[in-house]
Amino acid sequence: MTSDARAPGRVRSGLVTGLLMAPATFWYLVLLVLPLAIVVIYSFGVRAPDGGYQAAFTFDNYGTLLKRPGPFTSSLLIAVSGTILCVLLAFPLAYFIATRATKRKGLLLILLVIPFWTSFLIRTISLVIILGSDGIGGFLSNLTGQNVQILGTMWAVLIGIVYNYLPLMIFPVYVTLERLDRTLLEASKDLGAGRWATFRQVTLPIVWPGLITGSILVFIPLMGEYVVPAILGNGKIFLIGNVLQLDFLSSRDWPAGSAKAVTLIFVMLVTVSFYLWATNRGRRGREVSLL
Amino acid sequence: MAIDTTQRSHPVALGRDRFKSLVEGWFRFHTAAIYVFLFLPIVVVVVFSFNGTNRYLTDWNGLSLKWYARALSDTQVQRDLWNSVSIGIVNAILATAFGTMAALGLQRVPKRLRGFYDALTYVSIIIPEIVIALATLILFSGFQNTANGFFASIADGGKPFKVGLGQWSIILAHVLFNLSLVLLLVRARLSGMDRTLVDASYDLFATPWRTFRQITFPQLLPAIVAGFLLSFTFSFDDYVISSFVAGVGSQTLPLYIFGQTKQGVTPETNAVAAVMLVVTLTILTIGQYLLGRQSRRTGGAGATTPIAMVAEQA
Amino acid sequence: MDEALRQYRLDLLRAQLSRRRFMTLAAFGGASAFLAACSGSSATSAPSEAASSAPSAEPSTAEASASAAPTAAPSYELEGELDLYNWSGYFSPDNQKTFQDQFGISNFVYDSYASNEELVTKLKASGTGQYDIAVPTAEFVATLAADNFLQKLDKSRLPNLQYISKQFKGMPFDPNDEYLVPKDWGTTGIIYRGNKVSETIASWKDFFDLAKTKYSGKTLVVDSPGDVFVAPLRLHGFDVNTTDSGELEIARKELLALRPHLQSIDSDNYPTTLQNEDAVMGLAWNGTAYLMQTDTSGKYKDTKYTVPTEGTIFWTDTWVLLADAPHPNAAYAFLDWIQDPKIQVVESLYAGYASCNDAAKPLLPPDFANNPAVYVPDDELSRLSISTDQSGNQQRADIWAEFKQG
Repeated sequence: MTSDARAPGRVRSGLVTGLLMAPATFWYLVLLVLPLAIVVIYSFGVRAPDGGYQAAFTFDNYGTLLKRPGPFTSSLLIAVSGTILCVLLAFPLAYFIATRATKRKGLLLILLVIPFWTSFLIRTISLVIILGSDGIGGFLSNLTGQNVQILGTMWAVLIGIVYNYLPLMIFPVYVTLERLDRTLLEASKDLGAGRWATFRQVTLPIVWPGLITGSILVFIPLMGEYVVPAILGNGKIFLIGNVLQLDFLSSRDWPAGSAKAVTLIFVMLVTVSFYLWATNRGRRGREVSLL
Repeated sequence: MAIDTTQRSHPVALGRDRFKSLVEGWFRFHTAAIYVFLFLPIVVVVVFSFNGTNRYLTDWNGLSLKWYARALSDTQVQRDLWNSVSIGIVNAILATAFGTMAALGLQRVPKRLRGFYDALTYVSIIIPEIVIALATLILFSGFQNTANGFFASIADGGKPFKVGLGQWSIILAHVLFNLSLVLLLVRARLSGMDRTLVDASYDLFATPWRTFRQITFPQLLPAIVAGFLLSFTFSFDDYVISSFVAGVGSQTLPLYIFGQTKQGVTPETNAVAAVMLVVTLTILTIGQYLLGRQSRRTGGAGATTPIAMVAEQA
Repeated sequence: MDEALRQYRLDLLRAQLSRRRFMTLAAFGGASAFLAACSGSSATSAPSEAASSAPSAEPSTAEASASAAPTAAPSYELEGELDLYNWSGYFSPDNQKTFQDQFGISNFVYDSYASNEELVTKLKASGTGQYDIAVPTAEFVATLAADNFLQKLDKSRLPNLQYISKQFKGMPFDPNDEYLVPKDWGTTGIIYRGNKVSETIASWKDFFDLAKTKYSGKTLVVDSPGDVFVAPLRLHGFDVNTTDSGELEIARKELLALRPHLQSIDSDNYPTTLQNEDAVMGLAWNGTAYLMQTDTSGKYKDTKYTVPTEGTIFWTDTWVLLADAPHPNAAYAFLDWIQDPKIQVVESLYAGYASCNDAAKPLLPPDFANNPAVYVPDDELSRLSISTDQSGNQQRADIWAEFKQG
């Protein structure tokens, strides 16, 4: 029970809640639920002769979904490895920033986002230069005498992804790590806990919500990502996002694309919910209300 | 659990300290390496903006400022840059405010309803950009047609008021995702917050607003600032949604740059990016300096830059 | 559906047979029009000769002003603004300034899209009433017209249309030239680096063979199904617009066999790839070849471009007037003025693509006009055919997805 039950003016608390939730509710209903409804309706339609949507009611679009599972597995592979890589790279960084002196913290955080105030396209093209034959790729080729191609492989794509998604992992983890009280760590050690036990029982529970948030913020958009992999993969890597692009833009078969999108959303929602439920279940103590 | 009374000078304890400094040394190196990795492409961008080539970006042809001259005189670039910045800031303000409000409000909402909101939050993040972009555009155009029809019917004779897509449509679309982003960040922060402080505040007869302002808000500030920065960044950098719902004349920078790639990127795009970097860095530095000076004058109390506030909450 | 196909085939045949004849006639017509204009008189005889010798005759125009003087009928008041929706970097800034000054357009909005599909999708989803003029590739004009996104042009307000080459009149997408004003044209062919490729690549067969052997891993194709399908289809002598499932299946096999040898499937970065020789050969568009050849660094003069012997497509980009255009008078002024030969020369040299305007050709610098990477030599014109919008064909979409998947 929240403590403002004792706050003066209890009858106004419902009003306050309503006011607090009003803008978000408006956005979710009008700019999420409505467009989603459109997508769902479209998924049962057929392609108009010149492309687009034509009213109909058919399950055809869902039926043809499983024709080509390739993009799905590619996307899954990239999303999972990208997320893991982000976690591994973000944690030390977030920890380091969180343990700095107060003056440095802010500076370090700002420095993190400044690269992203240039367009992602420009950054990706820079990566193309860096990894290509004018840069590291060429350097390695000269070194080993063989034609080393980084671009066009999964590695280049992972580098590009980590590059663009790292802050989304760093910030949530930092935000929770910053709460970590150093004295707790010392107390734990004084009580005889080993390093691993300290980490597991003191640090991890505190940083856990941040890790979850970060993982979700990275993994989910990664599943729909296609621009960066397209550029760094030399157009040879074909992901779910590419499929959607072909459906919505190229062949303008909106019903087919809508069906795929609805299925994708549904599958991911179920996965995320299950994952969160499983992690919450195993936790003792104070319930981490979802995050 | 037995209390370990081993002295610090015990070999095992020394081993622990050595390990600790090893780990910290590694973390320091790791952090530096990541920053280098993050900034390397930026350096490349800036370096190539001085490329004196006539057309192609990677064709090094000596140093030159001509692309800067082109960029700064290109009215289209100026317009697009201005659009991106203003849209980004408005979007960040709205998303941060509404997301924080929602995070706080969700604590008070009944559990059932909370699950519903959680689902929506996730869906707004899960949904692929191209899907929400198209669907939102259809929604907006439907709204546009109805509104314009209505305005036409009440115009009687004169020129009817016309609604068109514009900056507002981009802002509305961006705020959806960013609102959820801020919501998640603030809630992650809230979940680790010490409730006893809030209880203590009420015990001391503080009003809810006062409690919020002096207890909750400062503790949430790192998450709020992080959310603001990320929201601006996402909006500024967005291509897919913007390309769909932008109106006439509200083109943003990523749209311009994307279009440039079809012609072959020239260093002009790099010059634009470099100018953008310089401008933001300058604003940040000036802001820090000015507000730092003010706080020094007022004796260190009431430092108001977000950066300082974030730092002070350690 | 079959009827429309038959009609397309007839039009293609007609266009191919008559193209050479009309190019010659149009050249004469254009030259005489130019000469007449040079003499300062608003001669009506010369231009109408050219017009009447074409089967798709245009009503002879009253004025034949070819100078840079305002050509819009003075009775129309210009709105002071024009909203253009175009590809990026596809309209000369110098011309824009000229236009704004000459017609008093204080606000010239130039927004851009990155593909035809984006344009069509955007129009479909949001409707009209925002932009005045757009620039679709010709095959999309039929789609746009069918959905009522375009206005029929009032030809009386566009006297400069007389200079349009016959090759671009009466295209299957707009048989009566009611909607489009041709902008420029290009071809899809084989571009390669002469200093790395010792062979002369003359055909699609050469391309496929070399890609799978000597230049495996050094070949690219653009990321565009409408262009890439041309290669396997013409290799086997099939119509580029075929919907025959057997023929498409053969094309599919060819494409999948080619796929492992490709360095990239990319429309954006491929000029750079060809420059730094990560790929030495590619299926791409002629404009890139011209730009590389003439790059002031001089490093890519060895770039060659081939219109394959088996045949390929030529495409035309067009200006169209959108329905519910907010500034129709300014739009008409623009559409007419842009076909002024002198303005066309500036455009051509800026974009690097061949103009559709015959009166402009004599004004071009010789190395541009005679460059085979820009203007296809007369004896190769018969190799060119027009491609239609096949984005609705399910089999092609499936093949393309499979090809991209690899």
